[in-house]
Amino acid sequence: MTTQPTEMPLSLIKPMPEGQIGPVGVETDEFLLGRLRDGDAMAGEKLVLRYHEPLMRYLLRLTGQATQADELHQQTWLSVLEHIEKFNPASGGGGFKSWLFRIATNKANDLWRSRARQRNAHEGLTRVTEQQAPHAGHRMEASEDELRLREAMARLPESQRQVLMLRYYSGLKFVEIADMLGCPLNTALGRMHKAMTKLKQMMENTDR
Amino acid sequence: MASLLTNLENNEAVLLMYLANELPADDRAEVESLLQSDPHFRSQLEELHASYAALDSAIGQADASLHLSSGFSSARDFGEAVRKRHEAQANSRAKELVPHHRQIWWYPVATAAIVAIGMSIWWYVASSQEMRSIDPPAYTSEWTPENPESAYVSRMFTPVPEDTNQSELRRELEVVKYLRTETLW
Repeated sequence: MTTQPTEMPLSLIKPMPEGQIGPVGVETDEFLLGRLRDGDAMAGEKLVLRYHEPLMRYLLRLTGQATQADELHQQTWLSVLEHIEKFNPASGGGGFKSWLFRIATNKANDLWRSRARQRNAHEGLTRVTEQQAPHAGHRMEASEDELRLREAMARLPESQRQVLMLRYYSGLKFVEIADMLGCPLNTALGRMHKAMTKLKQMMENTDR
Repeated sequence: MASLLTNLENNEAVLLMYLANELPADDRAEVESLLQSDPHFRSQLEELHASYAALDSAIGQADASLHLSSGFSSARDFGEAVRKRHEAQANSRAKELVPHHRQIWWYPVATAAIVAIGMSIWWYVASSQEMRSIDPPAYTSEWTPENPESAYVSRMFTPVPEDTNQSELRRELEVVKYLRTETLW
């Protein structure tokens, strides 16, 4: 059974340490999840706070919009609550964190599918509206770095962006990411490599 | 631990797994010995490491400038959802318990109903047996030209009393015979 630290180091290089135990007095995910199952709202709040930053950043990178990321974040946690009885930490596959990011990824995929349907229906009108006149409240406050990265990210294929962002924000192992996305390990690694190469090139081009 | 190297398709995959520290110890040692002996492989690793670091830093910087909403409101909303769900579950459990109380009340009623049904069945069966045990009444309808058989049949099926006079019986039979003949011809 894996346990998570309170603060997760976000890095592409350093994987999340396996089986790391939090500081003394800090409850593990599994412990909080057990209490959440029994209806302890405080335990749920602690879990949300623990994963708020990496999960929100992951969703922001995937969707590119703060409101959608917020909505997906909410949907993800409601889904956690709905399916909490089905989660089995002993079944392997990265524990609660992996399960949480899997749900978030599925929610993002659902959103993309509905977006694609919308686009087909409106013949690109929606996309133009979104790009040209986003609601002021929906816009992310962003620096130049952020805008550049967002632009480069937007040009990556979804499958590559997903692997890269999962690796960075969830800190899951490549084997776990491949398992989560339902693809072979070599495919996940190939997508990661392509995403890194493309992103590096795009960032370098905008620097010039 | 089983080797992963044989399953990895290319150098990039091997090096990604190596940098991520996800290779088994034996594979890791093998990669390290290869890095010592192969300068091209080593340069590939350095390049990949540089890409990793550049991207790490780019994402880190972008994230630092990106202001996230505090997680407290999300946590509070989630807490509220948990409370509501728990209440709903408790209510549904309470509702499930209500028929349980009723069952206790229903036991004597159900028993009484079963007894009543049983008695009705018994009464029906017993009365039908009684009906069967009673002999059917003798055919006593009067003789008429439209119903010439009646008297004959009645007599034929009526048990003859022991003290019946034989001559009287014979006479009666003759009458019957006569009547039959008259009727038929």
